[in-house]
Amino acid sequence: MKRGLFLSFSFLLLIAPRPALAQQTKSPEIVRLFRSVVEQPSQSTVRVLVAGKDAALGAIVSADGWILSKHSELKGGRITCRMPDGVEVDAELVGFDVPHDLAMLKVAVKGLTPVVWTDSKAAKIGHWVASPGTGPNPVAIGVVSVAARTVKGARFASPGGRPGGYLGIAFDLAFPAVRIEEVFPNTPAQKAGLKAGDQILTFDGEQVQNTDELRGLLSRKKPGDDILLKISRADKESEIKVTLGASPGAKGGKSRGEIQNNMGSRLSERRAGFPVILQHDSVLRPNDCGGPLVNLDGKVLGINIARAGRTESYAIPSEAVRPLLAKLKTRKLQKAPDKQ
Amino acid sequence: MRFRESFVWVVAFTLLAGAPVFGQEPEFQPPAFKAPAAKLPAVFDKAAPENVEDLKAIQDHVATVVENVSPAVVSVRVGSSSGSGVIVSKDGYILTAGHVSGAPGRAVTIYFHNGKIAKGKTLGGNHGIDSGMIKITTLGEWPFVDLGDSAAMKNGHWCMVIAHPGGFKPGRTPPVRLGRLLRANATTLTTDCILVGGDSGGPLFDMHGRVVGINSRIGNPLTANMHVPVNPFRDNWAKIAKSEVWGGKLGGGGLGKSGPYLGVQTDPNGEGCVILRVTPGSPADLAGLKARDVVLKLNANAIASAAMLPKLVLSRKVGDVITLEVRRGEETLMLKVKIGKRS
Repeated sequence: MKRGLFLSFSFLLLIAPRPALAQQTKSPEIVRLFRSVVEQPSQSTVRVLVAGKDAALGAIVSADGWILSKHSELKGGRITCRMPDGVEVDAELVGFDVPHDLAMLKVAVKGLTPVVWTDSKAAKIGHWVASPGTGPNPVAIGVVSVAARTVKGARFASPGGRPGGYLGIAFDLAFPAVRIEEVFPNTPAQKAGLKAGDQILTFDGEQVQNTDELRGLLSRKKPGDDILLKISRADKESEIKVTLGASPGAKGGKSRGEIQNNMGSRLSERRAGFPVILQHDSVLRPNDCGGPLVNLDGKVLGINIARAGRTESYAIPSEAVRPLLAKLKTRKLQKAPDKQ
Repeated sequence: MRFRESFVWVVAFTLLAGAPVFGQEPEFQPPAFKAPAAKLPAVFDKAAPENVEDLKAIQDHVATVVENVSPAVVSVRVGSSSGSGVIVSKDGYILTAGHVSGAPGRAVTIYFHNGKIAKGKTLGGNHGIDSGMIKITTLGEWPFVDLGDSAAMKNGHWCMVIAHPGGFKPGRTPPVRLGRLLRANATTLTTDCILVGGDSGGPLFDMHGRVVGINSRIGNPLTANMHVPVNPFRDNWAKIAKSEVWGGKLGGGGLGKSGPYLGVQTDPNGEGCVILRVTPGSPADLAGLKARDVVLKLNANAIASAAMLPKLVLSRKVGDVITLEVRRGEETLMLKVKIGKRS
């Protein structure tokens, strides 16, 4: 479970609704200051439509009609692109990469302005970022919250970032593999007989090397599911069956974390499981993902990939995107099985 | 007789060892208020940035502040729950939210984003405004930040939150959220630095990198992010650091509401529930409770630690008469106490 494992819940009180205060940091007046910042990169940004409806943004990566976008938003109909000059054209989905959720589209248009890449490290933590759209204003602004990082265990994570099944343990994070520091009372872990000091070796036969992998595997389960853990206790290995529960504070099948993360904005359906992310505090609409994220120089730091939570949006950093471009144009990945 | 006397002394000595400052007032001083070392860039004197140059000046400054203050931001785990905190002294006092630290004397695991882990315990707080405190008990010198002046924060002032939304994630530095102050009063700062579960207890910084608030609660809109101002922490430092809890539950009638009251201070480092001080004229004083008494039971409830006493008292009503079983030296006493009202 993404959050709820070692924190059976995360602290934050909720307050009763009251009239909303106006945004100041992301007010229309501040957003307008970014017009000159996005003037160039918006010439490299397209609106991607599926069956005539706004689905995502796209980033032009070469003058002869190659466009990157967010793959999981492009299902369910004919794909078209509204180009920077306002003309809508047909687009073909040529390649995609499921872990990064990137899609490569091809349009029969030449003489386009491709994005100007820069290393994501060009922006420090706390630096401004803007998400160009197809108009004069950016679709969102914010700051870099966390520099580009690889996410351990991403390949196991549930794509929707859901918490999955609940165990009720705290990990010993000083331990290089997966060891239990504490078993909370009245939890599935306690009922199954797990104990502090137990090392968890496998999860349903799958080796777990670190806590992120275990969290990822749990996120794919649901309350009521049985799992089989191979553990090592006092140098003796044994297997323990655990019937997973729901995290404390869960309501209507949603964990407290999920409920809070859905407060105030809409999230992308695919919002977890990316192997590498740059995290920023812009409030992106889910269908404004897929386009470029730029710094104050208008250079592209990465491709926006998800509105992931109340406090966070993710981009795949440029240094992870660029090596994928050639492969994405080859159609090879299109046949790849749709799984991670 | 002689044997018995020496035994009493050993007990007393043990108590002294648990409470090194017995008999004299411990120095629970808030960190000294320091005026900012340098003037902020001129852009922060403007009501709002006016151009891209201003935005650049803001981001250059913010990036520097982030580097300076992030090492003092921690994630804390208290039981099965996780929040954030910020270290404000070299010896490891951590400001957090009252609903994170909860009752005094609970064990805390403290996670630094560089992978370091320390142990600590919860202290007191005004739960009416959601202030709380933790002390690192692992020996060491800790990275810390200065306290600012929350009363100097005006609407529109720039600020930022650095904390652990969703709890500690190995390999992730605490995410930065930049914002402005939207509304302020004596007990709450509201900003557009967006918060979510796990951020509670984490710091709100001013542009000097000083703590001006502690994350507390959210409403649905992205502009409803509430923080406890830092001044009430400074003003009540000794009380909080001595593990006093007051103010009742947040939202349970608000500030100043008088709750059940005994009038003792307990030793958070003591073995069992050791009384450090009895407030003169308080219900505990009237019932004959004395410093160095060890409270063993409240009615039928055994009291294993200092943390349990306030919890049990707060679960009673004003006017209830309770019986405390108390060990005083060799004797065991039963004292009847009428629970009073905090004034």
